Amino acid sequence: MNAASKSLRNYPGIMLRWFLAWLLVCPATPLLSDEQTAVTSTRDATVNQAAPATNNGAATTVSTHTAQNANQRSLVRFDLSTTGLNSNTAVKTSTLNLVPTTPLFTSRNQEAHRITGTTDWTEAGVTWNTRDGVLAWATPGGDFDPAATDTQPSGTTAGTAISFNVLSDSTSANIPQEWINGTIPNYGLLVKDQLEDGATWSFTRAITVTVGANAPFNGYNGYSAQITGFNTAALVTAGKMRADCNDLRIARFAANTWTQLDRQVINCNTVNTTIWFKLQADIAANGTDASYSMIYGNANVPAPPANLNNVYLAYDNFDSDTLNQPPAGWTVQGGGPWRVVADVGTNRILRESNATAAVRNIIKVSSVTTERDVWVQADVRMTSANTRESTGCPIGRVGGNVAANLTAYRSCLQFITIAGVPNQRVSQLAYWNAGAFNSLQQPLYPWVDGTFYTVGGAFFGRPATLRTFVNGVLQAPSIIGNNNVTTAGSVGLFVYDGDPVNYDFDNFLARRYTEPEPTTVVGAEAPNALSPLYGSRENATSANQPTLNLHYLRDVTLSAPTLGISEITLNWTFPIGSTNANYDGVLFAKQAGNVAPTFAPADGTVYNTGAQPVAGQFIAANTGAFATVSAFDENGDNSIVLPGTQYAYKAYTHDATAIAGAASPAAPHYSFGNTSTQTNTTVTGGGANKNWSYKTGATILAAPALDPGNIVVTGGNDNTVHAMSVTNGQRNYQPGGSSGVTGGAIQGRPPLIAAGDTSNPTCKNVCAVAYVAAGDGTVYAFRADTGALLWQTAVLTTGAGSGFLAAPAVQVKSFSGAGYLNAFDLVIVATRNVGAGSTTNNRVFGLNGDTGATVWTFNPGNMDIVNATPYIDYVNNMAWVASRSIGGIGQPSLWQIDTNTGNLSASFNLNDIDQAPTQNFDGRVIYVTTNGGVLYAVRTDINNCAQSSAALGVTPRGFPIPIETAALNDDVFFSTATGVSKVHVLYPLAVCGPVTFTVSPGGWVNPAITNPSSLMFTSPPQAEFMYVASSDGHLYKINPTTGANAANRLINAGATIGDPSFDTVIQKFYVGDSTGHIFSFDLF
Amino acid sequence: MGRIRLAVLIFASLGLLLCVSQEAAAQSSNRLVKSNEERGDSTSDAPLRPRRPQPRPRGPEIFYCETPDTSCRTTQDTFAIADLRDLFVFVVWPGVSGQHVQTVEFLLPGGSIYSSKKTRFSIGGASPVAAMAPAFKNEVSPVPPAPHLIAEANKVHPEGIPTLLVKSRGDSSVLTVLPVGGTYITQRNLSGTWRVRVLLDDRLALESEFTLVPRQPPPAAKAEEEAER
Repeated sequence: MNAASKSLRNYPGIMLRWFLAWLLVCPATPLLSDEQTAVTSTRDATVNQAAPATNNGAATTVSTHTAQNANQRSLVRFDLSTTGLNSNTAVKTSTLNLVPTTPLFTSRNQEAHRITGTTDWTEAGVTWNTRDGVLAWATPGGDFDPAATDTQPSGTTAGTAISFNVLSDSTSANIPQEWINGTIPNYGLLVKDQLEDGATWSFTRAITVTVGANAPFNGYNGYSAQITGFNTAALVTAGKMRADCNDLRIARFAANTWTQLDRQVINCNTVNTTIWFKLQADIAANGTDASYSMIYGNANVPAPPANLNNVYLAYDNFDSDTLNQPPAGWTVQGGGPWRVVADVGTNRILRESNATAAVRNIIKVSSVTTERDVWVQADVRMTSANTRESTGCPIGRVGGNVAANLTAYRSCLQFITIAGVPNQRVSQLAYWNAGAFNSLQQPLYPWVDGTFYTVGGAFFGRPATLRTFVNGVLQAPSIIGNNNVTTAGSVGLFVYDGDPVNYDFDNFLARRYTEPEPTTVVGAEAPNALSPLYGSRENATSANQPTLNLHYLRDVTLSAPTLGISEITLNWTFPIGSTNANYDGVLFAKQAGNVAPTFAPADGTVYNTGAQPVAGQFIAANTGAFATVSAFDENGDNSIVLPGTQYAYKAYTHDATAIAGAASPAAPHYSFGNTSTQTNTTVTGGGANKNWSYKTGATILAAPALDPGNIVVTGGNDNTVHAMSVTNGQRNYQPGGSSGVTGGAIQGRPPLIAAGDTSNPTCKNVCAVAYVAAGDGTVYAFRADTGALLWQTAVLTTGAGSGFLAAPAVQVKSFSGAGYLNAFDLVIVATRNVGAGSTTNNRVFGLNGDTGATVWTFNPGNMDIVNATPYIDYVNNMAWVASRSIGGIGQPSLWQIDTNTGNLSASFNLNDIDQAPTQNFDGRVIYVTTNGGVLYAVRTDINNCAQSSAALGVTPRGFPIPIETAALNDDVFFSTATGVSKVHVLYPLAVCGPVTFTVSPGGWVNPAITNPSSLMFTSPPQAEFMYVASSDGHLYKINPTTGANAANRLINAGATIGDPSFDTVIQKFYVGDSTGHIFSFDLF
Repeated sequence: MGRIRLAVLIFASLGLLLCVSQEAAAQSSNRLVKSNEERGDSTSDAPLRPRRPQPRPRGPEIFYCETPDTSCRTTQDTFAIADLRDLFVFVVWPGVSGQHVQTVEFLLPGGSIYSSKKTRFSIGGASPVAAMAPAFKNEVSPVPPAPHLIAEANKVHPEGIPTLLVKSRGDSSVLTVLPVGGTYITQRNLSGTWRVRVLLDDRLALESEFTLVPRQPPPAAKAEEEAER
């Protein structure tokens, strides 16, 4: 990757080509799940309760207007025959899209229903009362399923479609599918207001806002406009407006969207009502904005939006603030404490009260930071004390961060000494500039102690105009052209508490301000438009026409398969026109025979290969990419594909993306598969071809174990014991759970004890038993017919990561002589530990084949790892165990252990051995090859007698096979790293005397075999030949006399073929390979 | 798992992009994407500049040893098949906590799976008894292996290698042992470049390679000659 990155840096041209290639591989397809198609309505109309006999089918809109006795409903129908979809198309859901052309100013819920009945309606005839101008609806207003398919808010925006999911109702689980299938009539859909009858906004008036030449700092967007002198009393009297004015609403229509505004109504139900609202857009100097409307006339409405913080820059009456702490949303800049306190009744006020007479106390609104032209106002209540100053003010343009550096204008009530005259009651305009204070005007105002006065200050323009109002009365003369404070800032309150009593404030308000202020003109009352209206199919704007969007999946088209003996390659093409944005793969189900599976995959459920969701019906494959157009179904642990057998397949496309509104929104979704079925018959094997094969999960190179003529059993690196029929490779069971599954790799041939031979009480005369020593250090016994676990041991190896490599050896009770004292089959296993200590800490265990209990443990303390299966000498009841020996002869590497007791009988220091020992025909000799290439003849009939060949110059592989050529004469064959060696051995009778080793006797020429397997001989009545597999994919037949290559079979090209087994009952070979397959071949 | 889901691939890809570290990059055969920062430092003088260690996102790392001791942590990825008794594969999981299942897949040079080893581990205290790879909410599968058959990395052994969950330079790592000596790897000379895929909770976390150098057969003539003596 790093190299690739460097290449990209060095060669921008390559990057460009890569990019272009990427474009080809990854075209910019829309992100769709499944497939979709949209159809436009072929009929639509509004039926009107107020005109129940009037047809309205030709209008360019349809309506769901709601009013007492004047409800309107929209009917719309789609012709799905034009889509090309049929009953084999899996429709997942559909979506009705209606586009508002005249939206409601406040959203209302709309319902979509499926029209029912037995007769269709006509566009030119349908009315509130009839389907076609003649035939009456069963219920006026239309017959429809009572359960809405969906309910959606109408929204307040024109041109943005409202999408109703149309999937199911009380009688249909999939309406669009049933429409297509014809199982329910397609009379279309009816859309209506969720709460009909009387929720109408009857009246509207346009509001035109006009502004002057002097725009305020920050403009008019956010300016608080007011409608004054509006006569709500007359409207209430006329029954057009509620007495509480709650149905008086201000809304703005802009960018095709209605936005309802917070508003403040003052003096409701009077002739002089004032209505405040905040402008939502700037207005050019001397310009107007007519996008605002007043709407009223709805007796049944909830509380209006009336958050005064959305009407003004800031408003706080402190009633909802927490007592005894500063109000929320305010920042104390100096002095204090400022606390919210209870006043009369439930009223709360803001109080500054400082017994220590701090003189400069400031609190400001946190959210207002950069307002220059403002109106600030508060109700102020103070007391006075002789010769002591009391001042309380709303302030604007507030800057600085402490009392000492305050910048602001203020309008106040004040008790103060002026020109040496004490105790003057005045109003005041003044300023601070970075803490420097100056008073600008102080006209007398006779305020009274303990009484609230509404004090307002207007500070606008630069240079500024400054005005003070008390209880709405301007305190002359005002200040014009002042430049003391030119910066924008916050708004707030100020107290000078020379009289250390209480300074109380309530109903603080700040708004943007300029002069002249904007004016509002309220237009004449008009009936509110029927709404909402949606575009009909007659609408000139095609984007406004009703559509129905369907989500569906189609089947693949299966093409000719590639038929094998134990495998079938399925080929297909995805539906024409589909892309990788529609489908991500195909699921195949199958069952034997020519009847397609009945299995129907459930949307939202993932099916993995090998699963059997329906008895006898299997998941044969499940692909995960659109680019994949073939799937390989082969016989093995996860699938059954037998030679010469018929299978019926069914393919279901699937997607990978959620479908909102579908019965299962979650992916995957599946097609029906009805049109993608295929019946295939596999080829019959035999002859030069395999009879069958069986796929496992990982490499298998050990020879398969056999119950001849019956069962083949293998253990693999996939931690699994596989058992299959010798005749066709059909699995005996599907490994899973604890059935046939171990916790580690199985690298040796598992001994398989036939039912008639085993001592295991469960399987005696019932089932064969497979014994497995696994890489997790545990020994297992499984039933070969079902894979059921008979027993397993605890971990017998030493240390983490240690395990067994060598297969167990089993001394079968029924084969043993009287000298074998155990009452059960004895399972002998030897460990292959790892890490420090593993050169000496290996052990051999004798286990009860019936229970797994440890019968004995052989722990010499100097045993290196054991890689080869022990050999059982039934004559002498001895186990011969070969091991390594730390690469030397300092400790034993061949161990003779009494199978009755586990005691050591003898040991031999022969150097490292990875190959299993074997016994010759007369039982007198154990042959074993060392890793260094020495053949040993170890006497079983003479104690401590081991005779060696000279170094053979080869690297032995696998166990040696002795063939007796005459009494006391054996030909010993064994594989080497490059071929097969043959050594003739002549040994003396009953004497530990010299043994003659003759290499390559009698014209033997070592056959060159690439990475050969262990050897296997066919025995009489077959001609005696030797068979050896190779890493070149072949099994070779070798003449045991000459070493000539007599014949071969290609087992699996490119694979390393494992140790072969031969079934003498039906004359078949079985071999595994590096790709994890087991093969059966005829004798050749 | 029959299907490879797009989401899994995306996750794996993002994981590879994000799972980057200097140390991981030092593992010469690891197929990990380097960060821009690292690529920027790949100039020849970069090793000469004294640099303060910079915190960076670190992903899983893998290294191979001939011993179970994490102190062997090197970039070695080539081993003589004749001399290798066991290959100890350490997968380092910096920043990973909780209960997880690590899967290490060994792929033969031809691409077939030689073996796959699952190891459950828990970092951060909780017992990993219940830890299993997360399954899809709705999934129909053949019966998976019983949980108790998955190796338990946290288990402490009194002898030999004490545990499969070890510390390497302060990070938690999980040890996987690939037996080599005496196995079919040596018996059948399965030499060449092997690929290793490491999955965490069934999601691909990293890929790497190591090479087993084949045994050289002795000269045939000499072998015969020695056998004659």
